[in-house]
Amino acid sequence: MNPKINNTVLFFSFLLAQMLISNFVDFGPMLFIAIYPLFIITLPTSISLVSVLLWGFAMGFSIDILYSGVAGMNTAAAVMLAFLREPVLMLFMRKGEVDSQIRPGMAEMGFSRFLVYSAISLLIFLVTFIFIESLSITYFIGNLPRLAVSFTVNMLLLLLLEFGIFYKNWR
Amino acid sequence: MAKRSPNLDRLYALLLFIVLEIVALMMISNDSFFQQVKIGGVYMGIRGSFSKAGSEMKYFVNLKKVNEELNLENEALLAEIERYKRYVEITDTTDTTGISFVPAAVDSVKPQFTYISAKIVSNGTNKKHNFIIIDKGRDSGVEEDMGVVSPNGVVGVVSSVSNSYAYVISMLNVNQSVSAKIGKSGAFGPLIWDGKRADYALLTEIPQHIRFAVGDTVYTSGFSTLFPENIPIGTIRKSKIIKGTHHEIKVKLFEEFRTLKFVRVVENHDKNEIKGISNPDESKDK
Repeated sequence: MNPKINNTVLFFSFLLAQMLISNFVDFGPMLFIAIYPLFIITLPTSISLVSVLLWGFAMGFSIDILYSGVAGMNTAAAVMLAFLREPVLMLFMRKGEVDSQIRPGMAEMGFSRFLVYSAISLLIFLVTFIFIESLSITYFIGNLPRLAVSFTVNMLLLLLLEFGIFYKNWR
Repeated sequence: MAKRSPNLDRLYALLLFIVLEIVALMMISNDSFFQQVKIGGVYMGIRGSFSKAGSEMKYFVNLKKVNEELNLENEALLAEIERYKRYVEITDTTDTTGISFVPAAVDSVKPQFTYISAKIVSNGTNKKHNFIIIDKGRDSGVEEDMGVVSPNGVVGVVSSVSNSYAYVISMLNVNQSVSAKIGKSGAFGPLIWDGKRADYALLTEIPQHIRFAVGDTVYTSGFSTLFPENIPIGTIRKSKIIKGTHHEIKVKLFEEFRTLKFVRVVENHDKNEIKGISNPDESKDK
């Protein structure tokens, strides 16, 4: 499929899924469920950093506007993740792969590399989100349990989604 | 054509990153503008498809409970009316002070508080900053900075209004605080939410010498113009002393925010008068 159309379809699917999760899943304020970071971290390596930033911004902005929270928090976290995606990705890419323009997913990178890559990315996202939410360091330390719980659950969700939907070789 | 330098690309990306982050931070600081957008007509249309089915379902499942709550509230109100009737009768017949007490006709008395009942369109309890959207707006007399209550206690404060919707900062929002007092001693302090559990809040700044017991009821203090006095909010659970000077008390809320469906917006008719007294310069400007 044309990668641009592919990305657009994925964008709206993730947006819809995130909205449904935000509106219908309620495990209390300790658990912040976000599945859209998966969309940003698995954007193809062929598209430029500027487009990654714009995709991230569009995703965060749409969620902020459609969801009743403080507008801007998802945007800030998503843009941060999009910006730091490339340096993190460079840590886990082999020399030839950077030019071969792959989608950095589980099938392409292998389980362990993808696990570490997505864990670091997700941590960047969640730390930014929780930091911006409390806008101070003191609150941030009080938020560590929330970070731990959210990170564990989101990581599991992310791996499940990646394995269930995008991992093509498992049959 | 010569390939553009990768450093230049990186510079563009860095600039874009900074701009986008600033936009995001500006969105956070100008949240009231986005609240207006969110309760505007177009947005409610889009969002309806997401949340309406869910909230209708929750409402249907909880109908029995809603009925019971309404029944209990009716009973309490009837009892209160009877008490007042009795009070009027007694003061009427045992008037020995010489000052004749003539109860005014009920219709002619203007109450300080009136209520606008509204239905919740969207509600959340799974974030640190929770907001509620209700289906009454400027057309029904709802204005900014009005309190919102339910039979079980305080719900929140109206933050922005459109013509037919209002955006309410929920009590379950770390930025929200309500002035509350402990029933017996009358000691008061701000009641805040710590963002941990949807059914607990913290009553802070209660002086150390104040005595209270687990199970005491916490009421609204009535010191703010938002809420009437003596609305029960919750009961006292654990407490601890902060910095050796004041108590921080955990309060189990009566309100169940997850199943909340009907609320009342509190209209305080003396609000401007009170504000005028406490801040004469500001009222002169207006």
